[in-house]
Amino acid sequence: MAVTEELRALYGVAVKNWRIFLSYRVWMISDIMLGFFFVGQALLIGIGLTGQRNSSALQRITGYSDYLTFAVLGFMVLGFGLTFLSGFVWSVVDELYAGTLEYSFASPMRRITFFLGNVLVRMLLSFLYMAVYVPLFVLVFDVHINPLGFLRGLPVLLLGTIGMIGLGMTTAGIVLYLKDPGPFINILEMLVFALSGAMYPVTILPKPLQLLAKAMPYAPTSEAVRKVVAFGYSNALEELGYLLFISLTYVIFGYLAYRWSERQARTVGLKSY
Amino acid sequence: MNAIEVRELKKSYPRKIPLPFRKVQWVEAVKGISFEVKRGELFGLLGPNGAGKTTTIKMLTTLLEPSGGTATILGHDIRRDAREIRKRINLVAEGERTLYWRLSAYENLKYFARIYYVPKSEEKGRIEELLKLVGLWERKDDLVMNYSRGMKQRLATAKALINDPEVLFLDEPTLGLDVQSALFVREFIKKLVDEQKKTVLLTTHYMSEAEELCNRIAIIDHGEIIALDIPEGLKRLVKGEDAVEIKIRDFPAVKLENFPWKLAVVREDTARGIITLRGQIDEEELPKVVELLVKNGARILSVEQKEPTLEDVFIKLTGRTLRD
Repeated sequence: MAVTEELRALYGVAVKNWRIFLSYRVWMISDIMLGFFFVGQALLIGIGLTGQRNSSALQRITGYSDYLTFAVLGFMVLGFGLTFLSGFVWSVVDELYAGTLEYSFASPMRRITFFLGNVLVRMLLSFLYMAVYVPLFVLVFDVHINPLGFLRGLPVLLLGTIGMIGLGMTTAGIVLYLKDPGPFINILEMLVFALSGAMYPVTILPKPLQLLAKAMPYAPTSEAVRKVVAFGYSNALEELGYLLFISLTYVIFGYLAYRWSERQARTVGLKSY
Repeated sequence: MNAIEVRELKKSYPRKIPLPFRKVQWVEAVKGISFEVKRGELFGLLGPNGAGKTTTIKMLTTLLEPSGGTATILGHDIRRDAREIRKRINLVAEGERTLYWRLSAYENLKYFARIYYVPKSEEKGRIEELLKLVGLWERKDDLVMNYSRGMKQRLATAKALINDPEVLFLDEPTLGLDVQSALFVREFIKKLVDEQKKTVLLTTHYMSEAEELCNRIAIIDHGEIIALDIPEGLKRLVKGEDAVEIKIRDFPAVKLENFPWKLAVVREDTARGIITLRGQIDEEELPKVVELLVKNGARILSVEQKEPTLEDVFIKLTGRTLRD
């Protein structure tokens, strides 16, 4: 009974968010265009710098010679991963700014249901965008995606998802506690983008940034997915082990951080409280 | 068993966000208040802005953690049994941005029905019933952003009934509404108590609203309950004392601080420089008040005797009006 009630609440949150998103029709178009230009720019920058699409340097570092395929895989992992960060964080911020968060939080629904409902919609959007991007990338940029290799990478992506959910919960906790979370989220998103390893291998970053990149779940997920897609599971054990470790760490830390932050927010009376 | 029991409830807020190594000053918004609300009672918290009314409601609806004291709702502790309480209560919060403006009224209620665990079999019927009850059924598919403020408040009231709550918290439910909408909301609240036997805790800074609706009223000021009784009982505090309204011109209200009588500014016409003072002044004292006002440069426009109201009770207890 309790599970059914919670699932209905989850569905309610998702439907509400979906309808609100649809009421901003132009956003969908701008979201899709953003991804397209992102990959387009990656191609142009790559060609501009090396004079060709294939790079021997990239081949040496990552095993991928085609920069565009490398960037598209990274972009897909990043796009998928960001759904958790944005699902957790923007769901709080949007409703805080709109003034509606308090009404939702005053209901008996569990808070995690509220967040997961938001994440669900963002995931659905993420899949929709991918369904548009992949054929476009193949057609326009002649990206070579092996469907079997792609499917092989999916379980790795799901493993990374656990860590991304943890990071989302941690960030949601911080957001609840901050007076003006907008700039914080923008900085965090830029940081995630820069350290995700989506556009370039993180090994080219200065050492401190490499460490930071390794400490977030995005770059380890991208690296593991790329390795599994290109070379199979048996050759990616080190990456998978690290991804498992960081995912579990983040999900435990995220849960504790969110619990602490929520209690703090209820105590100090910030935001909607 | 009482529906609500509050004992020495306290709440302090920090002046700045507490961070490690940051010394933070705490401000006490609610200073140990105690009261109880019987089942089926309409209880009012009357006080000016910043008196601690909303903070009290937020603690009782489990949105805020109290700094001290205890409170139970329907026998459940607000700290330990938050989710159980939330299933059995609901609230209308202050302000109009509490609903989803980009959704229709129907979609809003559907969302709240789901997060309040209304059974699927009852959802459709409940929404229809509530929208008809607040007179919005014909406009159920319109986006809330196209509603007037009064209509939004009616929808917020319908939302607050979606889970058929036993206890309802209404925070300034008529604030900013036009006369007609405020009248509708007040009538609706009366019906909820009289016909549906709901327990209602209402906050307001409109004395007439508290007087008209509430079985009992607690007057709250600076986080403390300074009086609690039935409306007639509260008015007995000023019984036998004449309420006087004095309309004057060219008088800075700050000078009232040095007056030996409790007089408060109840109306202000800044364009014409006219203010209206009100207080409990007996017949013998009245000439002295007038004399002192004149001495301080005031031009007396009129002096009128009035029936005592709850506003007079508040002035007598605090020396200020509810609007201050």
